[in-house]
Formats: sequence, C-alpha cells, structure tokens
Amino acid sequence: MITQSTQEIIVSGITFMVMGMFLGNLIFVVLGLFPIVFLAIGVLIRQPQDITVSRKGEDAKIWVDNQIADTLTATVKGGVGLVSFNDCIPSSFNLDEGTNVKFFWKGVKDKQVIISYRATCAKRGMYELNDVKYETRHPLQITDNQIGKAQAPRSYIVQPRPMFVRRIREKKAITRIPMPMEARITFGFPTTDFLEVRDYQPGDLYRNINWKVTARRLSSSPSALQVNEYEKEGKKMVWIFLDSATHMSLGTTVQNTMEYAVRATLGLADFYLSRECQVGLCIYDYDAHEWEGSYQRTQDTPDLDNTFFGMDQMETKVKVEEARGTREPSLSRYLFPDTGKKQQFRILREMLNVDIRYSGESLKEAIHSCRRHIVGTLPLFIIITMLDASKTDALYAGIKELYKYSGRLKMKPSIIVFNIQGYKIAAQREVEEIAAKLLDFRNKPLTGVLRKMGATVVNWNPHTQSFAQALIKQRA
Amino acid sequence: MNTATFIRGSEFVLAIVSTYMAAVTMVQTSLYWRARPYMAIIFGPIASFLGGSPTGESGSSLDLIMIGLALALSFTFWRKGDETGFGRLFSLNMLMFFPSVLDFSTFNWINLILPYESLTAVTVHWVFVVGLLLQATYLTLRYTMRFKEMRSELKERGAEEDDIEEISRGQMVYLSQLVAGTVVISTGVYFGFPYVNQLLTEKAAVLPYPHLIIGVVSILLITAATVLYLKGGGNQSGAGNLPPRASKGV
Repeated sequence: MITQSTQEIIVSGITFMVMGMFLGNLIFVVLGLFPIVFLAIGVLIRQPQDITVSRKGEDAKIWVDNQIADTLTATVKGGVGLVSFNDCIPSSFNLDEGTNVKFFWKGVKDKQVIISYRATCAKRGMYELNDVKYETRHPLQITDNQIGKAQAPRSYIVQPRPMFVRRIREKKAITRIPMPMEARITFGFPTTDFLEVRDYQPGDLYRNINWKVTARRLSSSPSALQVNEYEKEGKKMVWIFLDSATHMSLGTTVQNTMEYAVRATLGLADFYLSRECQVGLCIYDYDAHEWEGSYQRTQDTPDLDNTFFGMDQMETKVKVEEARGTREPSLSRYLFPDTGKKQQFRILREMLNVDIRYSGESLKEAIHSCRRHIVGTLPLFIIITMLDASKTDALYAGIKELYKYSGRLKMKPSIIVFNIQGYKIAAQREVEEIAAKLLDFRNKPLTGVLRKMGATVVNWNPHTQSFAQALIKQRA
Repeated sequence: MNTATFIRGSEFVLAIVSTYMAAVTMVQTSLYWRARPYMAIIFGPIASFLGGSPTGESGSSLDLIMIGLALALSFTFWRKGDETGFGRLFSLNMLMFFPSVLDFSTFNWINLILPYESLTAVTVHWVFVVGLLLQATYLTLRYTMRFKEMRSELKERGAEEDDIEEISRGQMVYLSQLVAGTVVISTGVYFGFPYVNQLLTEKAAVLPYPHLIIGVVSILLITAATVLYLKGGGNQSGAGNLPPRASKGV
C-alpha cells in the first residue's frame, strides 16, 4: 500500500506530464517522469521482509524481586530500511540493565543484532513472553510500515515470597500464635506422602529403611541407617479465607494490599503445614455480599399453575416478585485441606493466579461451598482481609456462619481476622499517612465488635511491622 | 559531524543552489525583461545606490537585487524547515523556472491568452538541468524533513543516540543514491527521446487519431501503470499492531 505522501508525489509528476503533453514540452514530460522513476526505484528496493528472532537460555522459576536475564538475536535478511524489535516485558518487570528494544539500519548485506537485558520481577504471577514485536520501514516510507511478530517463547514463574514465622526464637511469642483445637493430638497414621529421609531410631519399622540411601551414605563415611519418613494423617485443620475484593488493590501495582495478603497467606500456610496441620484455602470477595443468595435456592420453584391445573383460584392473583439480587452461581475458588509439601505447592500455585475479583463468592457463600470439608473437624479459621467499617454486614454474616463449625477454646470460637492495613500501604506522603490513620481509627469500633464476637483480630501494617511481629502482638 | 547537522547543511546547500539557478535562469527570460521597468520603479533607487544602470542591457544591479531577494526568501523558507516552508520554496523555484521552460514548448497556449512571445537566453540543456535540479531538491527536502521527524520519533521511543545516527546516515546515503539513479535515468530518457520519437512517429502517423488523443491516452496508461505498480509494491502484514516501544519499569 502506498502512503499519502507518495500519492502526492505521483500527482505532482502526472501534473507535469499532462502540462508537457499540452504544451508539447519534452522538458516538462521528463520532469514529470522524474518523481515517478524515483518512486518506482524506491519500491523496487523493498524494506526488509525476512526477520527471525531467537532467544538464549531457558524458562525460569524465580522468587519475587529476583532478577532475570535474557538475550535475543535478530537476523534480518533482504531489503533495506529501518528495523526495530522489542521484547515486550510485563509492566511489573523493572528493566535494570541493557535494553529490550533495538532500532537499527539494515543495509544491503544481511544483518544480525543481539540485545540483552536484566530485569527485576516485582510481582508474583506466571508470565509468558511469546512474541517479539518487530517493525520494518521503507527507508523513505514510500510503502506502509510492516509490523509483525516473531516467535521466541519464554515463560517465567514468579513466586511470591512466603513470610516465614518459624524463625522466632522467643518461646513465649510462638505459643501466642493460635493452633487448631485438635493440635493436642501429636500422632497420627502415616500417609503415603513422602516427607524426608532421617536417621533410624529404635522403634522404626524395618520396612521403612531406605537401603539405597543408607548404602550411598555408608560408602562415603560411617552413618546410621536411613529411614523414610511419611506425612502423618492429622486432624488438625486450618482454613484460610483470603479476600479478593476490589479494596485489596489499594497501593501500587507492585506493593498493594493484595500482595501482602498473598504473602501472609503463604506465611500462615507454611507455618501450619510445618506443624502437620491440614490447611485448606478459600478465596472470597468481601463485596459479594450485596448480591449474595444464589446458593440458598438449590431447586427451581415449582410451577403451581401446572400442579393445580383446572382449579380456579378464589383469591385475586398476587404477582410474586423475583428474589432480590439473584444471580448466576459464581465460581468457587477453594483448595481442599491437605498436609505436606504437596499442599504447600498447591497453595503456592493458586497464589500465582490470585488477583482482584478472583472469586465471586461472599464469605458466607464461600464457607457454604466448603462446608462438607469443614463439618466435624473443629478447624481454626483465619480470615485475611482489609477491614472496612462502611461494609460490615458480609463479615458479620460470615463469622456467624463460622460459629456453626468452629470449636471453642475457653468459650471462644477459633477465628482469627487478619487485618491488613491497606490505607497505610497506599499512603505515600505525610498527608496521606494522616488520612490513613484516620481511616484506620474509623475501623476501631469494628475491631471491638469482632473481638466481642469472639474473633481474634490481628492488625498488620507491613510498612512498620514484620509479619511475625504482627502475630506476636495480637491479642484476643 | 553530527548527522542532524549534516542533514540541515545539505538542505541549506540544495535550497540556495536551486533558488540561485532558478533565479539566474529567470533573469534571462523575455517575461522578466518585460517586467523589469516596473521593478526598476520599486527597486531603482537601491540599484542606483549600488551602482550601474538599473535597466542596463547586460546584467545590472537590479538583476542582482532580484536574485538576492529570491535567495533571501529561499533562506527564510529553509529556516522554517517544515513541510509548508519547503512547499513554498518549491513554488518559488518553479515560478522563476516556468518562463524559461515555456520557450521550448511546441504549442504556445499562453500566447493565445496574452500577447507575449516567450524567449530565453539560456540553452535547452541548461533549462533541463535546472529542471532536474529543482525536482531533485524538491524530493530531497521532502524526505530529509521526514528523516528529521523520524529522528525525534525514535528518540521518543527510547532509541539510543548511536542507533539514530546510524539510521539517519543510512537514510541519507540511500536517498542520495536514489536521487542520483533517477537523475541518470531521466537524463537517459531525455537524450534518448529523439531516437524513440523517430521510431514512434512512423508508427503513430498511420493511426487514424490526432496526436493529442494518443498523448492523453499514453499519459493515462502511464498513470494507471504507475499507480498499480506502486500499490502492489508493499504488502502489509500484521497491521493494527503497535510498533515496538521501549519498555519502562515500574
């Protein structure tokens, strides 16, 4: 396709030629031919057409805030002109070194260009860099620019860093982190999930001896017999309810309430899984309460007109209104409770995908969805959210629903409300910090009500407290 | 030398040289000589101040003033450096060039309207070379302006300075080669025309149509062929995608 500018030149050339014809002037005719010959040669020498891009290295799995390095080689054949290519990195990647975009001139000879860059991955998630975009331009832009994509796939799994709490050395502090009701049971049946290899101890079954590992260790140095250890089937159960409502996006793309909530979820999951608890995870939406209700109706309302066909109605017919707020059943997002590293991996994988409005269920609906896995287990419930005094109904309704399934320690239900102080995360300037303090102050009565309801409220300001400090400072 | 400075310098040289050649050609035409007494009324005092007779037969200070004025205008248009400026420069050059080229026309249409006998002191080859220079200037300035725009665009998109320099150099070399090639081909066509004309006249003489109709049909055919050729020249793929840009970190 020829460009607007080129069309103008053609018109000027034709005008000269027509003038030359009418005046019988050879000079005009040749001058009219000049731009046309110019364009014709220009079109004959085309812009580069054949571009291939290859990428060095392999797919990677890294932690948040780690660096990735990539090197791309673009080979351009044929044509002459400007070529640019760009490896589009996700917006949450911070380019630290090098460049991911290159502009260069392709002359008559084939050209190979290499670019490399280093970037820091600031946000969890699964990132797939499939295509490298390129653009080729005619040197004079006589023809339209050609934009295309070259296949050079690469995927990165950026894992969120869990906030481990096991490093706390103060015995007093550790004991204050609540455990499930059934935590008093210290033994259980071994499952088939492999945990680790350890030294043999009197009482271990002979069939559990791992002879291969024992032989390998003995060949290098004297060592005890090695036995396989399997995960114990425990009844200690913890349910983590993670809020994915819109207010969790408070903050920047990288540092927002949701990111801290995810890290807290992983930290708590790790804490309880390492203590042989079964951990279940459920994601809900704090705001979904407003249109809650679909789960209550499991059957369609019977068609009374058909049932009582032929019978006259004595009373005047009353028009029945449709239940307010009915909606399509929303997608449940939960992981069954389980123990061990497999469960830790499942939770980590789920956390890669979690985003705002990830679930459409309210807290009450979410509890209802998981109820078959809760009944009879007396679990510890942890609700990770950002308290909002203006919207309390959903939380109260959810906690009341949890009463049905919760065990009671000293007459109190085992419920922790882990409140991430999102306003303080979002505050950047001094004025905003004051506003955040005011907004959090507004939540104080709500905290009081929740404590009266029997829940343990843990407030966490990630800017001033570590995760462990927040758990230590909690009070029932 | 910085490529941007080189581009600007080339523009200056081309603008000044083409205007000078067009002005020199103009002052040797009969149209200019008819207008000369009127110009002498306006510029006479200045010409007298500079010395010599304003309306002298062989080159006078008035002619120098006229050439100087044209060069000053050309300089102003070059300083503007945008599409409008260069468009005006082309119009100015063509305006000065037309009176001389009309002298070499077979049909003097203008004489039917105005009682004016077009005459020039320069040769036909001189006029042709000046015409080529004007066309080459027009196309070169048109594209150097685009190169400058592209430089700023690339800078905005995060290109490195060295890459921009390399691209501009490549574009300038390409443009000069293309202009040189076109000049050679056009000159070949011009000087080869009498021979082709001889061959075609014999064939065209037997056709039952006037030569004007044959000419118009030929022009239309050339136009259609050019448009079809140029349209088929660049197939576009992946349109609608965004061009590559430098990514910014968080």
